[in-house]
Amino acid sequence: MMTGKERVLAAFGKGSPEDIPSVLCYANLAMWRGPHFWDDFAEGKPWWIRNSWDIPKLLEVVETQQRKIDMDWIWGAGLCPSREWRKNHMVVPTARAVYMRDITPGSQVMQYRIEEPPPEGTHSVYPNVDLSGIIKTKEDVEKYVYMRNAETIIEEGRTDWLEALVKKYGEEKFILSNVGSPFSRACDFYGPMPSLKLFIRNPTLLKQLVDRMADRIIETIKVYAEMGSDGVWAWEWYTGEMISLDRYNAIGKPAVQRCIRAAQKLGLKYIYYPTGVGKDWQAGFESILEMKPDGIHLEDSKKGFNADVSWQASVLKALNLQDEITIFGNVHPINILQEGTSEELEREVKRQNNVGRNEYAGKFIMDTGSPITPETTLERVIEYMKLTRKYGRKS
Amino acid sequence: MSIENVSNKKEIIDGLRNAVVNYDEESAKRLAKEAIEKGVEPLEAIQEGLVKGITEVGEKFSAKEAFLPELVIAAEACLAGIALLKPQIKSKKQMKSLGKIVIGTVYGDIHFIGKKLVAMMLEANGFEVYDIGEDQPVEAFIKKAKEVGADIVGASALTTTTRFEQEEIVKAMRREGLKAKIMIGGAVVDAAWAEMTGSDGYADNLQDAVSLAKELAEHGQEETM
Ligand code: B12
Repeated sequence: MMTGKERVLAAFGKGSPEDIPSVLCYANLAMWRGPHFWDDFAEGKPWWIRNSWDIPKLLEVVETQQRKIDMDWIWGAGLCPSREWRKNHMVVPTARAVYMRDITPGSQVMQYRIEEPPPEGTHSVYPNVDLSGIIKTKEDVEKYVYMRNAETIIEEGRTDWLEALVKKYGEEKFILSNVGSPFSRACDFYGPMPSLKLFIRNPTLLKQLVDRMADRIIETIKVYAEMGSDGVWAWEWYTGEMISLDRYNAIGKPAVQRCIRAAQKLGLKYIYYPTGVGKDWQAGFESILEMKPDGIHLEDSKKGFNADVSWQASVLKALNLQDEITIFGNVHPINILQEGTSEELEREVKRQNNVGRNEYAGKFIMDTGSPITPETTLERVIEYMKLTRKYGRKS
Repeated sequence: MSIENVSNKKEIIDGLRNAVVNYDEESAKRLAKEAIEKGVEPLEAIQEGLVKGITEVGEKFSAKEAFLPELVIAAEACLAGIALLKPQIKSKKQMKSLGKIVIGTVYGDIHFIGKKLVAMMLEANGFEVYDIGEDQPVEAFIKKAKEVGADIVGASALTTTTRFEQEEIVKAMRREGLKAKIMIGGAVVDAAWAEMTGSDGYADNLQDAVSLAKELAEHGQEETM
């Protein structure tokens, strides 16, 4: 019997693997915010253990999650706040509210209220900033896109969570860390709207920002490699309808390419997740494939674009890349997983598995196209996972 | 003083259109000023020049010939020109807007690019737009709709979790007895969802959003007549 990690590694390797691996993208603890998910996994532990970074307790939650869902990877094996920060912050639950207290020695005690994530799901995590008035030159870029080198990150104890996960699951599961794309990260950092204008008004500055972000990401890639991650995941959203292919190629691609090579050189698998990509952006898809990430994951079709796995397999084969790039399933989390009948779910899982195994020689990892929605019940997720195992088996 | 030289007038109007099509805000502003100085009918300069330009860019965007950076800058150029020309429109009748629209992204959702573009396009096409921003609770939509006497309320949601807020907005609007029509949109919104929420319509691209708003505004007016 193969371990989850062996299954994933086999799918990245050559030759048809025994079983198609099954994973869930974005299945980290922060995602499971619906009351059923957290309660099911946390088994009575309070929600704020995520704020206080109580690593032993969080590990127990992951253990329950894995026992119930049994994915082949551990998603979210990322950095945590520094050891210093964790030492100096404590959660204070009162009858009225829950507070975070900063007890850093020598400074005034600060206290602020922390909120339980709402039962209906996620709330804002990305403020919409505008740094156009602040970052105007290459010097500003260097000043504000702060670099922490790999050694410092490790020294500060920001890898304690990752280390704990690797220690517990490193043998059994594929450890996946999230790095983000330097391109999208840079635009988000500068502010989504102002960065869109930079594409036309000051592409040089934008490129400097993207390159600097790539340097920063490469440092975290080094950390992940050093601490025992098996792969990194990068979401790219400046694709598809967002910007032109020429701009993607000129400003985004070289930096992404650098991150891919850095990861590969250190033995990590690089999985690229460009959203909004389908048949009508085929030239873009092909351009992305030229960079040869180890894995490519296309989101489910949101606005009617065709991102079918069968089409993906045919594009990769036409480019003769079928031995180099692994593709991912993209079961629709809304139409199929959340709202489809059991028959529809089974049919789709079976179909995608068949494509992966028969049309793409098993260099395929079963997944949903985007995160599971909080309206989807845990029972449904378990039903889905069982189906992926059933149809993923070789015989 | 009205313009004598027809070719000059045409040049200015074409220039305004081209400024938008070429994503050139400075030229849009310069030509808007020139139009005013030379007595070109401001409404005509807006409709035949700037709006034609942004419509063209919008079409290119749908056809994937133009992308977000182009669209954002073109829309800003168009709106900058309109801001200069609009106060010059003299006749009362011509000044009448197509309707008042309150638009925002729902609570818990910070995606605003699509909403912002829709808002800009609606404004460029003659609506009076009140963009309340992103991550806005139901009450903010209601409050603004009441305050300005909105004809239409537009709610954008980009995730499956947050789209439920659209339904809440519809319910609250009905509960409060507000007459405004409700249109929704965003990556996870389709016809089935639009119907389920009880909203008056949805659109998944810019042109459809503008046509829908025009349609809803007309219906609204018929109903109140
Ligand atoms: C850019 C982006 C982001 C940026 C947002 C930048 C910003 N501040 O706006 C960032 C990175 C910050 C982001 C964050 C998140 N995102 Co996001 N994001 C996207 C992405 C790639 C593109 C959205 C976009 O701007 N498109 C361009 C515009 C022009 O298109 P549009 O918004 O659809 O608008 C058009 C139409 O829908 C319509 N329209 C829009 N609004 C309205 C309103 C009305 C009234 C009308 C009539 C029409 C209309 O007209 C517009 C013009 O054509 C989409 C993927 C996708 N393919 O759509 C994911 C996506 C929407 N995001 C997603 C997720 C999950 C998130 C996060 C939760 C991620 C996370 N784990 O933290 C957070 C959300 C945080 C929050 N609470 O809101 C998921 C949603 C999945 C789901 N099923 O729910 C998507 C689909 C990506 C994915 N495949 O996973 N995201």
